[in-house]
Amino acid sequence: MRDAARTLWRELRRDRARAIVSLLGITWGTLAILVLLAFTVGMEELFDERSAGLGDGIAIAWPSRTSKSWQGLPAGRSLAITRDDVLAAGNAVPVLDAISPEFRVQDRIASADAALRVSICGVEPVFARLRTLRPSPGGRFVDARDVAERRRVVFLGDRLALRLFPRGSAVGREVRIGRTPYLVVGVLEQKEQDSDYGGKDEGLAFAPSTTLAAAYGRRFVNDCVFRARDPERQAECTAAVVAALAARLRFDPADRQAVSVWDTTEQQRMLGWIFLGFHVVVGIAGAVTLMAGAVGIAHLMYLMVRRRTAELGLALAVGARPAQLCRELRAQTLLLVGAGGALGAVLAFALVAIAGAGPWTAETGVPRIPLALGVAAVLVLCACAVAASALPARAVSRLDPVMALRN
Amino acid sequence: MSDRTVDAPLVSLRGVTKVYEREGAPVRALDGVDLEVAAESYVAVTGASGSGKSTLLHVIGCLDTPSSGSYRLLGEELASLSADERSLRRRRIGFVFQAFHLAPRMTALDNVALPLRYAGVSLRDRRARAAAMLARVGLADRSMHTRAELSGGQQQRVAIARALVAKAPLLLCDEPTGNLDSKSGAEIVALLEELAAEGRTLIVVTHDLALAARARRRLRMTDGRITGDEAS
Repeated sequence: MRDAARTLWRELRRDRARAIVSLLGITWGTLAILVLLAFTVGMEELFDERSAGLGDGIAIAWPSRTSKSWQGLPAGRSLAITRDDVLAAGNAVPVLDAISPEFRVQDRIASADAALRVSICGVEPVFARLRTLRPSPGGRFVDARDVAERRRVVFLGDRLALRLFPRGSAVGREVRIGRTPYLVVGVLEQKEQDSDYGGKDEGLAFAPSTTLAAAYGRRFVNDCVFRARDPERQAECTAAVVAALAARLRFDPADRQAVSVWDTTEQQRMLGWIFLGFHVVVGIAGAVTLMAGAVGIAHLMYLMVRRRTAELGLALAVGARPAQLCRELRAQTLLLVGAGGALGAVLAFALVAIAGAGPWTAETGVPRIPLALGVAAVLVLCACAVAASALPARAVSRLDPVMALRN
Repeated sequence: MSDRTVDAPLVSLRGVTKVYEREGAPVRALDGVDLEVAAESYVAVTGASGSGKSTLLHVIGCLDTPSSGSYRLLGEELASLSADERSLRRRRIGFVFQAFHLAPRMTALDNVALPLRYAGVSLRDRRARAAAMLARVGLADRSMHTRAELSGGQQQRVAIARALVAKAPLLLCDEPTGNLDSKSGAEIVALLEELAAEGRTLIVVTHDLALAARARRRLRMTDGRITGDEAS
């Protein structure tokens, strides 16, 4: 290897301009493939994070109107679901991870500093886990005792808390919802959220489902939120929840219009496919750039072989085997491609680090070069080296020492 | 597969023919050559241009393969070996060419060490052996000079050192004085005589009758055949 490197260095010094251009072709290709994919990875992670802001693999179901007659009951009935219906459905579905009913009311919420009209959600404790509602330090979400004892406690969205209590922490303070006082037990930790149903969580208030139902005389829920234990079985879980509700509310479980369902995992799956396509297209574009660089290296190596024909003929005459010379040539190509690739990788990591520190990452995501991408880039570079050395190696293997010495 | 025998001649050719295609027509460069060369011989091959001298040397040196016939080196049949196998056998043979064939950007030391590089000898060992061989041909002080910094005679001495460095039992010289002035040529002739006196086997192709006259055995070639074989 040391001999191959010495010979390569000697030859490159003879043709510096061509060597630099060929090397930069590989550098540019590596830089392009790594940086482009790093940005798509960052963007995908940002989308995932925002998508998870609504909830982690959840489905939201709300009652609607039947479209089929069922067991003597006519089509066109409006369905109404109680909290008990939701909790009973949850108990009946083994593949379910968690389910929470959700009441929604619009009312005035007031502190000593401000008064606003907002949506208040009446939910179970498990709702926080389903909807990724993490309390800021020092606070908590609605708990089981709050629900059991119908406590007048409330968990505020971070933006709402800031508007109600602009001068300090909201936790432990009192707000009035309508005319009823509630104790603020927690404030939402700031999060990214790209979709919602009835307002982003930062502007909502969350109270125990039992408290809200009693305070507003509500018997029927607006919707319920649930997810499967295994995300791959979400469709099965949704069908089972609808079937359980159908059994209690007496509608055809095959009636797709009776209960509307928004399965966010379908959206996430779709997004996954879109990004996969994006990665593939960008990867191919980068690989083509890299292949163009490899053509430059192949040309350089071929010229080197032609220029060294007499020297290679001499090597054969003094006992070098053609396979030895081919191996040496492949090692030289690998060194050259490796040097260009290493330079490209260093530049890519530097560029990604700089880009990842900018203010634009809120919109573009933080670009990142995952280990798998690094390994893939190394494999592509090796393939380039093998491809680039193929033609020159063939020329070497066909050298006739007598003819080469006459060269 | 080797079928080497103990008392076989170093070089043995039987009915060796070499036919080239030139512009669609066959050319018989060697035409049924029979030749045996014993170890420690000093053989000169003379003949007109195109008589087949260089082709004979290329076949003996495993640079070329015969079209038909048998060629044995050290008792081993080599006529039908692959390119890779012939390369390995060439490690038993040292070559000295008319045009010297020194790699232009290598130093004299690296040129001499070249055969050892492909034989897998470590850099340190091959440099030591190459330096010793350069000293043997009187060029110890020129080891770091490149081809352009050496005279024709010095280049040919470097080429001889390269041919000797791997301790090959057979030395093949193709017009070793052809590109040299008379003084340098005489020095090379003297060096070859020294090597012959040391017991090395030399086969020298030459037009130089003075050089041929110094050999212990002289072959004459005409139209691809050996037409004269005399010993002194």
